[in-house]
Amino acid sequence: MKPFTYERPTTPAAAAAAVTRRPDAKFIAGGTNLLDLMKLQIETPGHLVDVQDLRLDTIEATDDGGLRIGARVTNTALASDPRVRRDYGVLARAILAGASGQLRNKATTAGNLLQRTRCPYFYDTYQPCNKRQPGSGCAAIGGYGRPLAVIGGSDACIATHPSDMAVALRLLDARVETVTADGTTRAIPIADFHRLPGDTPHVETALARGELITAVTLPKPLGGTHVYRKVRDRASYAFALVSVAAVIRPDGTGRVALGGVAPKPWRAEAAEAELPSGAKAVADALLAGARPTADNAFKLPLVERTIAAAISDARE
Amino acid sequence: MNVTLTVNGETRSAEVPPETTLLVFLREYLNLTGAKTGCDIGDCGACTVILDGKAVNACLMLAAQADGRDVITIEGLATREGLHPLQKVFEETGALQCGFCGPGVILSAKALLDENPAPSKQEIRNALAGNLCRCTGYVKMIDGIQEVAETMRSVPTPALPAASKGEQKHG
Amino acid sequence: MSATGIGASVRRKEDFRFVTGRGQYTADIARPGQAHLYFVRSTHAHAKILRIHAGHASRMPGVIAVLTGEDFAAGKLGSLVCGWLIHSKDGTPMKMAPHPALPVDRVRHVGEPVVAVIAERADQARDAAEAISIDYEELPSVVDPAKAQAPDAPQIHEVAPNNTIYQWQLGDPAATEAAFARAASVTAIDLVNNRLIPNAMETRAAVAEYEPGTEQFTLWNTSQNPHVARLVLSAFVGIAPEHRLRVIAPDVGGGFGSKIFIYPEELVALWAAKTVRRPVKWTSERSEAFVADAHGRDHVTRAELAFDAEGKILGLKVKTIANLGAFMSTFSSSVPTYLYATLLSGQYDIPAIFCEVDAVYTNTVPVDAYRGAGRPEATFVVERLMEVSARRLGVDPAELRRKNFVKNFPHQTPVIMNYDAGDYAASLDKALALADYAGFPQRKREAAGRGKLRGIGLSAYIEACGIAPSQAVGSLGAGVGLWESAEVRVNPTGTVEVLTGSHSHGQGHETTFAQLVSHRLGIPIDNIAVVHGDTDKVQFGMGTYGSRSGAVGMSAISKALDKVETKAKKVAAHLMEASEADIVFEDGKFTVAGTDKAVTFGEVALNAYIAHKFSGAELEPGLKEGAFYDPVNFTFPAGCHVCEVEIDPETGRTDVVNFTAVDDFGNVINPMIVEGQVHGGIVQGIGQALMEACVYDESGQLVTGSYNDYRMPRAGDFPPLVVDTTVTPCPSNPLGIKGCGEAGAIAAPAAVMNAVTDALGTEDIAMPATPLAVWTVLQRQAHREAAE
Repeated sequence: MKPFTYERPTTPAAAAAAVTRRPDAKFIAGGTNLLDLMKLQIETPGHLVDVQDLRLDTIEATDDGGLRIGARVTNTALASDPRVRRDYGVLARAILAGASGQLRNKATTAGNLLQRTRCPYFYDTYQPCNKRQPGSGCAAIGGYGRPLAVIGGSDACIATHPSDMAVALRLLDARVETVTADGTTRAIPIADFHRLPGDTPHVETALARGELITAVTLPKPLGGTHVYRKVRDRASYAFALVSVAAVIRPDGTGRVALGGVAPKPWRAEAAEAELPSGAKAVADALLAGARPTADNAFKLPLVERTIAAAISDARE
Repeated sequence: MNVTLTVNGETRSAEVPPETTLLVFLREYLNLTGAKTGCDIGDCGACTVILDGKAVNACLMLAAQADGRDVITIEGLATREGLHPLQKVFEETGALQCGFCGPGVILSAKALLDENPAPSKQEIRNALAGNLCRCTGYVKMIDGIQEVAETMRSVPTPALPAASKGEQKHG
Repeated sequence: MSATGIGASVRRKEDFRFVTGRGQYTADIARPGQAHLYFVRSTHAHAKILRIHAGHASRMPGVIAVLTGEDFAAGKLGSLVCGWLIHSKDGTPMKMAPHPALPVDRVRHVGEPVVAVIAERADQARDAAEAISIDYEELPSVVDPAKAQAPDAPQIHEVAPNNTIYQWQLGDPAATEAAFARAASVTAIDLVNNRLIPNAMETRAAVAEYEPGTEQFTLWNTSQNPHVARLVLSAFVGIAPEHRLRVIAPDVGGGFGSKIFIYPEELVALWAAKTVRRPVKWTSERSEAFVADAHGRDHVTRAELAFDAEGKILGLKVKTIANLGAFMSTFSSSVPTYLYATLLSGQYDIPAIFCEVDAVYTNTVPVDAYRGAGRPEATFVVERLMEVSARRLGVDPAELRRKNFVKNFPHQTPVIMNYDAGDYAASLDKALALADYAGFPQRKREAAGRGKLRGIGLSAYIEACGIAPSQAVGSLGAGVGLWESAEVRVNPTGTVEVLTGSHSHGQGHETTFAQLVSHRLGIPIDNIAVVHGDTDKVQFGMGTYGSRSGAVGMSAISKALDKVETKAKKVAAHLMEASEADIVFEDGKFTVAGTDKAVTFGEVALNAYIAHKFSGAELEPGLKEGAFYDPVNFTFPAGCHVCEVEIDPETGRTDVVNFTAVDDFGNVINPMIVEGQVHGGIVQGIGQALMEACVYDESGQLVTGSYNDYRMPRAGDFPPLVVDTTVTPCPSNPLGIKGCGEAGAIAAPAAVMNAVTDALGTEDIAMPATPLAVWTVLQRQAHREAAE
């Protein structure tokens, strides 16, 4: 790791100010992804602002019947919260489908949303990567494309977003609450939070420099049956080839979001209208305009089959 | 910078560069080499320690982040009265082979049993998902953890957590 | 059977330090004043080194020295070598290219060490290494062994035209052709034995120290065979005379073959320690281990099996291309030859076998022995052929095997080996019963009802362990003898130290070897210490690999114990004033036959040292004996593994739902330890079959260089394993032991793939059968059905 300085402020605004002041500063929460990237020198912050003393680690009911999840609530705490398990089962299941116990004990709600792609070329500092080094090119396009995006990518980047949790949050229409150095707060709909790569794949979210996530809010429970299906190369501890988060109501209507196929959690509300017509119609609508490579074309039918399996899970 | 934390019931302190991980802090500054460096990026679990009751990868955490917190390492698990039941069962059943992954596996298992005294086989497997072992095929580890869970449940007073006994030991 | 003797599941003596975190592995060793070593590694598969820009790095904070291939060449040190000479069929010796620890002008694989940086702290060495830039001129590269010999393939070493190291053959081509000419049916298959990355959980490490006053080097090293390391480093590389180099292999965190070999890094550490006059420590990062530890397997094979009309095997033809990577690692040449083709007869009576093997250089990490080393590759060929043949002939795979088993021993195969003992039908029968083979059709129907594809597969494997005798392996090209040494040192108080040339890195020798001594001398196991892994303490020995430590290492101890017993009887005779011929030793007591006179082992030990009861003219004082044991034959563990899988056609995921192993390891010293060895081997074998893909892209970059991409078996991946044994004692060594360390890794891949192909109804799938690979096959089948 490159040398850096470290501080632990005690209020969110102070933390935001600390990062705003220094262009090379970054927030650190659990650190499970950031420290990994710092060891590889993919991230080289000169200053770290630790958010652990900001008291952002509670889960509270909101006035409209939803939940406000503090930014620093760990993945373990979130997945084991009784309200989450009861009313937002898809979120608990998505979290438990990812990583290992040790990582979930450290990883936080905000950090999970902000984790970087696991594209092998992003991790290999000897390869060009527009996300890691803007303008250097993309080795993944034309390279080993199996884990990469089939939709939403650009000529600059076809990396996928690795989070399971974010797929569930997208399904649930979560909002991301933030604060800036001057105390301004806002709530960003999750649909707008992650950006598609376009020409600037290094810009991954709607956050401004120094803007700190304080919480993620969930609207009131949707009801229905919650399913998270993740297809990967082994039983545990692997990123998704394809994942499907779904809430299915008894009448066959519901919501579907995908992970593992796009640079952000992938959902198209219009596609959900097709749910009563079956998995193929939903998959076709979700993946309209997909541009797979030869290596990852398998994901298109796999999405359909996984949606079908999710629907069938919901019926059981 | 100064880092002060509780390790196995004792207050330990050292001046370290901010980039020092908790794993390097334990191994190189406190000479506690029970936590191992297997991959250094959180994939293998050889560095697992217990932080405020939860199993974490010491390699993916700054020592500074652990400042003021409570850490249990494998060296702090046994008490004056003897080995922790997990250590004992791993010894009795030959659950380890080369031993390198053992400290991490034992601490992951301890964190599991502290929270869930009656885990199913599948829950045990899930709890070990972050620990790689290349020697054993995990079979005797999983069986051993289940055996300890059953024994601990049948004992009316659960054993004191190792940390509190550790304090007496270092008194 | 005593509680701590042979056959008892004695708790492992090494485990107390392991479960309490007190194991001392190389990375745990810190020497006063030590500096740290870090390597700049090649980022290209094949390139000319034009210039190394290290000026800035050498002035960075904490940097002590920056050393390059030119510095190394100026040190006049020798090249790393491959120690087993193979001759091509035309009589020419293998084309071994030089392998300097650091290259001067050319790099040949991604990960090859190029520049060594020594600094005060590990992070400073790493930072400086990252500040070094190297100008390369990229050269075309080749990674696929099947393409390496093409006329237009890039040439990797001048000494090896067409990248061909040797073209070797074994067996009788004419007899084999004749057998095929009269065959009623022939089964032909193409197989790839996938490249594997060993991934011992402890990465390699070295701590090197040089004492200028005595010119003495000490090397702490993650080694399976410290004496062999010392021999190579002194005799071939010339870093120091053998007697001025001490190699210590302390606790070693798994090896699986990858820590047999002598690598550039420890050599550079030694050389750097002398250069900078400081202890120098190197610890491999995991990402380095992926591109710097010798890989395993990587065979491309065409195999044909000929049958007569009754289903009896007439002959076997095999043609294999073996990838040895960019350099010939320490024992690489032997793996696809004498450790492979000699096992192609399997458990079967095959009258004629002919095998050809081409070994090639590619721009990949060197390939060498990995758990099983050649024998898993042979078993995969034979057992896939048997299963496919049974399917084509429409007979039960178990019965086709049974019909062709070797039934009379000793049995001379057409490929060198002389099987000394076994009962293949016994292990088959037991495995079929435990796996409820008869109930499989019912389970398959039940699974189909749930939309799952269920398959079953067998693997009736054989291996050859305890590689030996030395004279025989010498005639086949081995550069070393393959005996083992032992010294039994009885102390005046009656406690015992056993010094063994074997090395334990997970096998539990400190326990099993002590069990033998406890059994023989009748003393408590706590009174016995097993000493290994230090060339200053232990006499020359050959180390641990190829499941040899029981069969060869313990036999050496047994031989030394014979000598101790003989000497102790002389002492006892003097003590009891009886004739030596009348002394009986039993249960730790020496008695005079036909009397009630007795002395304990402890009394004899004490008297051997105080020497009051005999004169020096009659008997030498002391009780310490050594032995070198050279086996008369290989040992032949064998058995039958049965795998049952269920495939989810929705996702292509394969779950192993039952796995049964019945092994014949001969006599077993510690059943608990043996069981653990079998579990671990099976899981590695299943890993190879279903998960572990080592992928190079066309440019020679290793795509699977992390645990994200290289899928290691984890705790959630498998059902409980059913493990049992049958016993035919090995007649070729005094203890009747065959060896158990590799069986699982040898047997499992074929069993799993036989099950997967059974479930899928096609042979057309290669290892690893990942969900993607399985799913792709299912898609292809669906398209074909749709087209029909």
